[in-house]
Amino acid sequence: MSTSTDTPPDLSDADLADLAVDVLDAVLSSASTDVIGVSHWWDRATSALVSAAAAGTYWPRVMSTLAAKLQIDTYGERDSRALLALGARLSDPAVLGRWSYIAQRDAPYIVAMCRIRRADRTATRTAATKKDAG
Amino acid sequence: MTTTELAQTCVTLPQQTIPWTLTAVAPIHHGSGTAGNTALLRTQEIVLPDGTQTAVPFVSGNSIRHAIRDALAWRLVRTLGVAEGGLTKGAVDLLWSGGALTKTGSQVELDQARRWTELVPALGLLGYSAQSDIVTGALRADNLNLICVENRWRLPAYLAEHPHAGLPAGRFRGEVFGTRHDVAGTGVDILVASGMVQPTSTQMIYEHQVLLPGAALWGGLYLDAATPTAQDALHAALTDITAAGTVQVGAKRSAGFGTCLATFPAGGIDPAAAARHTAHLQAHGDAILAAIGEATA
Repeated sequence: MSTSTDTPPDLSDADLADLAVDVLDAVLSSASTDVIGVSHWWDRATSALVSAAAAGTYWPRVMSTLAAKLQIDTYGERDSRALLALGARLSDPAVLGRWSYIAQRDAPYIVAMCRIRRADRTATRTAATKKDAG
Repeated sequence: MTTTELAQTCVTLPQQTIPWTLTAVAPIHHGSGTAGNTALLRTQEIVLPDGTQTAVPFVSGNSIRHAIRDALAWRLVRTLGVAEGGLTKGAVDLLWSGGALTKTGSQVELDQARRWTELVPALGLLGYSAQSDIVTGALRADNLNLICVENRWRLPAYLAEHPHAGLPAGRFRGEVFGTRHDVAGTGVDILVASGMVQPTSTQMIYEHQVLLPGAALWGGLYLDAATPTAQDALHAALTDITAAGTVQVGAKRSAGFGTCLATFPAGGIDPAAAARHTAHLQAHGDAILAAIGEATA
């Protein structure tokens, strides 16, 4: 069965939610505000995550659905490598099934965590740039 | 009817089970909110035998009940020749939505309720609210659940070997998009009042999560102590909603969604019931309209 395992899963629900944050973070790095706009950025991110997770029986389809929903023609190389590594951790169909369920159910939380992470990263970069300039 | 006579009648009222399977031939959208510009598919959270949770799409039994109620309401007004403007809003609500409580009180007038449900079989079949009473109907309608591996533990025996029983629900899910077309920039502009600045385009893409054509769902319809007129009403409704050779479920039916092939593995619809139901309506037309009027007064 795709969403259950006979042995206790190695990844907890919290681990899987964190993985979903990682996935979304990597995907958004290949998306463009010029294409999908700033005002709907996080709505579209939520929609993409939920839709991709709903189709989540096969990692390539998850990645492709995320790309289609966020109008990403091609993933950047660094993001592709990150998604490949994340997909490897979700290669077991049972784990991918659980990830899909949690990514849909807890999408608002996952998007919120991703938003904070990206905002903090931007702030850190900005501060570093100013420091270098100063 | 005395209590004894009623008890004897009830003993003769059979329980009836009508299992059915629907196979989508068009995308099915049964919605549950939105995420961004995407209308989400309604899902049910379930606990699998090993204790883990998941969510599977389904079509609610409530929507099936509405389809049955809608079919019976239309059959009633057409058979009785109800003219435009011929029903009060309360009567329409009673026939299409099951009515509403309009008075206070806790005493159920049984004789009156029996008379209404016998005269208007849809009320006996589906239940209703009228005046101060909520009356339960004889019909129980299952949700239509997706045949998939997550639901394997609750599949009926006759579907245990279905080829979809070993496949994950995600295999049957997809998305479709639609476009709201903005005619700005076309010849239609000539109709727009002069001196006006064209506002921002209202063209937009919207998306729907769907169950894909080919997905199969199962469910059941059950009658508990239904009178013969209520039994006929159910079969008449099933006759009507499958009249085109298909049945439509879910939303966006006007835009190409929701069409399914229905199969009844246990025999299905009584082909003579619709005619009996219509004959009942024709024979009691005035009394039926009077009962509807009483119930919604």
